[in-house]
Amino acid sequence: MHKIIGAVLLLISAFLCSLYLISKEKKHVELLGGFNELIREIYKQIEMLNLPVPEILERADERFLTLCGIREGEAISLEKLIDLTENRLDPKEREIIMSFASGLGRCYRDEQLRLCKYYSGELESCLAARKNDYPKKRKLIITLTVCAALGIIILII
Amino acid sequence: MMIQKQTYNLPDFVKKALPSSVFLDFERTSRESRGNPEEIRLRRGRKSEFLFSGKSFLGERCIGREEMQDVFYKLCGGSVYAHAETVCAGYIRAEGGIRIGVCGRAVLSGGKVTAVHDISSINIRLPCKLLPSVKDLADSLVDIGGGTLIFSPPGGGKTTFLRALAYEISGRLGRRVAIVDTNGEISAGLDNEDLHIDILEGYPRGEGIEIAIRVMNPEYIICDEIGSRAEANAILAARNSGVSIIASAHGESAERLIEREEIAELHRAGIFENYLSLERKQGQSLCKYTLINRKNIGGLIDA
Repeated sequence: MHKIIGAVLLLISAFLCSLYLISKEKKHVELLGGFNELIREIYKQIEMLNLPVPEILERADERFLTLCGIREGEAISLEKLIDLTENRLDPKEREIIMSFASGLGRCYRDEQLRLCKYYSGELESCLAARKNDYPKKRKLIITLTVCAALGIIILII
Repeated sequence: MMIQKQTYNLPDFVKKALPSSVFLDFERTSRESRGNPEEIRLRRGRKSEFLFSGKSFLGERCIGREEMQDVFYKLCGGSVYAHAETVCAGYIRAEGGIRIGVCGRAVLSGGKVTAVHDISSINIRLPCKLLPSVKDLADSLVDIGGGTLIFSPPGGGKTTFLRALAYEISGRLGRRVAIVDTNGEISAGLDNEDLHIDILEGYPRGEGIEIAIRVMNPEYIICDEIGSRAEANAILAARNSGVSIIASAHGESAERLIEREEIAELHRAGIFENYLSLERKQGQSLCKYTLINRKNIGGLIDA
């Protein structure tokens, strides 16, 4: 009886673990997509209205800001957004965003727009790759966690 | 009239933009000097310079190229592109009436400056916080009527005087005043809710004067640093509207002032009834003014 309960608990744990890992991966994709949208929004605001960076960031999507970990009423800067996403993005993705952030606002309009386009393009490639891999990763996570649980169950039983 | 030594707290955005060594030099000089801070000058590859009541003091360290670019970037609020137009005209518009002059390597297109790179000099001009007492002067100008031209060499206190007159005329005397504040310097600190004041910030002077007369129905228009043909034309066009212009211009003396064709033309047209000469000795906060009637200037023009 105990073994059955233990086995069921193990399976539930495996399922919950896989859900956690899948949602983490999903959030990773959303975060990356959010940064890409932010760069595109920055491009648009500079091109149309020549708005300064702090004002553009204030208008950023709230859902994206919450995803990054910004609390309501907290001051926003690109550097802060990047800091809050440590360990939630790949080193390559972080490097792209950090390069963009370090150059943001330091040049004139035409060059700034070109840089926005360039970095947005780079992030889009990373995002496309992640989105392509997501279904496979999801299956892999479920398979591995369930198999690991089953393996332990077999050993116990 | 005496402008007293004041404790000056640099605005946060200036403090954050300056290299820490420059800021410490400024603080030290501020404590040691008896004058009021007027300018912080940064020059690439050279020591920083501070102007206190017209007297110059050098900092201890030279500023490098990267530091200069960083200061420029921070003074632009992290958005150089948003200030491109004014940077090409030689300045950054900042809050609190602070004018920041910049120069560097110009990029030209069709003979016009389209970008400025490699910033070599930055001049942060700090507004005088305390307004001089111009109560009697304002009463005289309003009684005499007509326009007034304030002149002095650069750094003579013209903008401070304009601000003080705007405060008196629109406040205590209750007249409608429109300020064409192209550089955002005149109106700084004019926050009193009882002032009868309209501020056209960032407008080119000529256009601002036309718009103010057309839509704001002022009794007085105040603007800074007139001198171009377009500005003279706008002021001449305003002649028939009955609005009195109070303006300032660079000029070491009345003789030098009226050597400028545009100013002489404005005088002949009777725009300015009063001329106010400002004089200040180097190293002193003491500022002396002399009110000259247009008849006395007229003699100079005819001569």
